[in-house]
Amino acid sequence: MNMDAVFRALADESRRQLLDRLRDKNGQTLGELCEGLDMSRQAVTKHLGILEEANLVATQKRGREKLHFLNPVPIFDIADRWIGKFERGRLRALSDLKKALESEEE
Amino acid sequence: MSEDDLTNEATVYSIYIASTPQKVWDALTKTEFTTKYFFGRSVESDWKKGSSWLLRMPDGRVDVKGLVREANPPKKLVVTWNIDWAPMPLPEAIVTYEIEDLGTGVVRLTMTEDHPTPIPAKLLEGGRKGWPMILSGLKSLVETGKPLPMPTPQPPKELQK
Repeated sequence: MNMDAVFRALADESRRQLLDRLRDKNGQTLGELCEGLDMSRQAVTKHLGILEEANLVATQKRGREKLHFLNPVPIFDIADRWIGKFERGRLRALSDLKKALESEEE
Repeated sequence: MSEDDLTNEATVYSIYIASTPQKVWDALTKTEFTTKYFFGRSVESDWKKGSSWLLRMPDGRVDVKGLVREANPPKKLVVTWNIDWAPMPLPEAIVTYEIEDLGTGVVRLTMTEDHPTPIPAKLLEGGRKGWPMILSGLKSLVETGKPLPMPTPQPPKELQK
């Protein structure tokens, strides 16, 4: 796996936004992903290509449509490289605590 | 989407593995391999179309069972996926593994989980957390011969008795 490609792909707000949209609704077409975005169809196509190359987006042909899916496997590999077996549980607990405290303040 | 909503969103995960399609196929279908990356679970089947298959927990209980819908070694395996030990009924899922030879000593393994019948979003979320670990573990095992030292995640609360 090319980790450089993953970091390059993630180092762009527009591409992170596309991943967020797939997280909200997995398996979208190019047209659906373009809806309500401040980006041209061409720009979205280009960003999706970079995400696909980094294996952060997996695609499937369903009939005539190409659907895009969030593929978190490369991000898992990054986490696995620097987060040890025993730290994982503690980090999860901290993250849950942060979420709980922040939602209380709203 | 709220956690209680029902969804039939598919999950598609893929991973590149420096190996051969046959080795990846074996890793998916032979117990000697699955026990090392699939949270200790063993698989049992003759992997013929129409045969049954199952995934057994380390303590011997059956975790997942289903039928082999399609077996085209070493390229494609489609199985039905049923969990019936949970206190709430879970509709059947379809899991497809596709192994593509990219021709440079690298294969791409793609796992697709389809839900013909919608399931609660939080259960889908739970399954989605497990697959990256399973696929990364499979990759490590096939590439290095060694399993990843990974903790076994607990099933979501709703599935525990």
